[in-house]
Amino acid sequence: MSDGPEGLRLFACDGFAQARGLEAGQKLTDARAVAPDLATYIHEPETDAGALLALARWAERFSPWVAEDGCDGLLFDIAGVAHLFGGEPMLLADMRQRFRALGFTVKTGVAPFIGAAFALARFGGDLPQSDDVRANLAPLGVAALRIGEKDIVTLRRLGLKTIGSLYEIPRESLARRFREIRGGSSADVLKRLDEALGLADEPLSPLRPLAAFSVRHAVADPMRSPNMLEEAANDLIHRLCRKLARAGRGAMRLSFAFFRADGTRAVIGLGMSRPSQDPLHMMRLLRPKLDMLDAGFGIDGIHLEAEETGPAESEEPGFMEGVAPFHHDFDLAALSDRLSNRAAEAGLAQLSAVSSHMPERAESFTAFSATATQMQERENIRPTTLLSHAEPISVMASVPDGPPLRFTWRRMAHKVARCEGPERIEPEWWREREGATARPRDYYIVEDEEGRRFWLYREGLYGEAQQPCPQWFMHGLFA
Amino acid sequence: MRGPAHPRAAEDVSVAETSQSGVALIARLKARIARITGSASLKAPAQLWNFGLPEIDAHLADGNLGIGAVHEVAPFSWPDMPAAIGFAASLGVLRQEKARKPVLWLRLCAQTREMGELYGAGLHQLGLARGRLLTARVKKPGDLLWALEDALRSGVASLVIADAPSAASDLTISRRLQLAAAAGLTPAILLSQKPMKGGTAGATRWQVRAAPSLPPVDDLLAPGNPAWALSLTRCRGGKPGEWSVEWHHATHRFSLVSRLRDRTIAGFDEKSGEGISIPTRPALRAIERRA
Repeated sequence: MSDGPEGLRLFACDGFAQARGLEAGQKLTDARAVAPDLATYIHEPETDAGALLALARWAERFSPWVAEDGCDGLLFDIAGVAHLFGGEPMLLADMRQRFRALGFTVKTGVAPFIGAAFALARFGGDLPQSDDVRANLAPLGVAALRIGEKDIVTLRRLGLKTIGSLYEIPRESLARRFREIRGGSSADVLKRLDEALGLADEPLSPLRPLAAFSVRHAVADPMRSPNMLEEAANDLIHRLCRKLARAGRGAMRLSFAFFRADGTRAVIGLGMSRPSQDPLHMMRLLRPKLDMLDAGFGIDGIHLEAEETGPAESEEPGFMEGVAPFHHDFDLAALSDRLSNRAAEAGLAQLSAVSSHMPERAESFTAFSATATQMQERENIRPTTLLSHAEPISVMASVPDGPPLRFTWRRMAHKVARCEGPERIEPEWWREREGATARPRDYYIVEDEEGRRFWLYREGLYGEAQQPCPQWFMHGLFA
Repeated sequence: MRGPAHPRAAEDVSVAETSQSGVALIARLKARIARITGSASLKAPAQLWNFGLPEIDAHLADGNLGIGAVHEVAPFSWPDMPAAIGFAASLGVLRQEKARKPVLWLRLCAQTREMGELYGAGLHQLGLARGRLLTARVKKPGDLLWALEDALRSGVASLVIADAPSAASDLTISRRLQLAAAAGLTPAILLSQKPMKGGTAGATRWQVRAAPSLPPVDDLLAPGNPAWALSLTRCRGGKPGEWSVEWHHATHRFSLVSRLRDRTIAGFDEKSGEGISIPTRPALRAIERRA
């Protein structure tokens, strides 16, 4: 039941309730009068929508093109899919059986157009169906046309109870008739009728765009052994690679969907730094992840899809060689993929220079496949490693704004033996937000008596008005 | 292996006996082993990876650090870690001169937090070409070992430098890495925080300590070229040794420096009184004069 402006009403009811004369939209008090023992549940549209979406995802096993239809239906585009299941009747039987196994009451309808399929599924009942859509729809009530409640009532009053009776009415008069009643809605009846009969196009928006490169594998007996899964995945990968090779494309992102027998599914994603159509490489990426896959009660279907593809590149070194040293190194790309898919945070990275003179901003890790940037080399000496955060240190200097004499870093005292500096680095005011308190830094390269070298800086200047005392920080280490 | 002596081997030995030269015999046998195992190609100039200093190279097996091998580098104490990183980088520079492939540096996230991120500009100034350096950061030590083995075996890098997790001192793991390095003909440098203990399959084991630098000629108060005290504690097929070296980033060369403690030139042969020629630098002369 749902709570609306007109009080509590039944939102939907099951077969038993319908048998006792209850119907959706009825007031709860009326319903209670008819059936005092009625069991009711609050209607939660969001939860229902979420459940329907999950069901749609699960139902991708039947067709990659699934869409939600209203709040209680699913639309499948089964063009080119049915033969995988042994024809449309077999597909429908399989669908009904699997949905029933999940505890749903299910009605199905197949038609060349969405409107017709809607009508047949919801209102078709067990009527025999032929190939002729017009004939199939003719005996159905006008309510099957997905039109408004008021239009249905109007049509009924006119004696037009079935869709078939609408066929005989001239289109002009149908349009005129409904325009006279309520402008705008007439288009609805005519449009819906045209859509059901395939006279007007109606787009189906699936849950997500159909991948151009996808392959699936369904088995009767759920697979549990890792070897079988690996073999099936290997087979799929080879099929996908053949598809890719024919199209001259390479996969950048792969997504494996493993459908478990209990209706859940596991997804494994693989990323590649360059378009690949190499089944061995893909298999090497997949294998460690496959080991971690929880097969549950067994896997009865696998769907592999190249979510992102790019033009395949030949392995021949092109004229780009030298400009981008790693760009054409396929082995390196393969290694990078293996690393990023298993262990490293983001595969292989290159250290590239960024146009900034703040030491911590002047470098960034970029994916290695990017074209190598030619960097101007800095004149000033820079440390071998840079601490991710400058660490405060206590420093003794001969004069307040002079070079350091002693300092303590990480609880170790160091006596400065040699020192070079300062190198002043001013804050980049254009990056600072309003009211930020970035201060100039004076960097020193110091060597302690042991020969260890450090890069430290004093932040701020002495004698600045309304500023705290300058502070020392450790920022980098030299070899 | 005992058995009926191979006629050819017997001939070799007899030749050696007549020439009275054990050194020649060993060289000859080594050449034969190389022919049999097919490692002769390792002797090619492109596969030579050494310091370019006869004093140090003489301690290495065949005067070569070894391409298909694992090398262990550790600091003397924790604060010397940057020196160890620098030493590994300088070996990478020497390797880059011979091999076109990039140097791969695998880092453990924990280690980057401790010692900071690699800084391209600084490494470039040490001589390690930034355009031919790749890095990857790994969180778990186990994954690092896996990545290291994969990188070595695939042979896509000219050198793999890696932060060594403590497990790397395990003989089985170290043996596995050694096999991967040999399979991919890629050397590895394992940078560990503490020197590895006991037997590992590593070809060499180095300990590095920061050493006071010689000041540049134009500013006697400023730090000069990086200087390290190196100690080769284990060397398969070679012998251990200790040296003080300076790294010249401009020429990509090591040079021996005098130990400031006892003021003797390293490599100086006291018996014969002959010093081995060391590159004379103005700064070095200056400090000698002052002394």
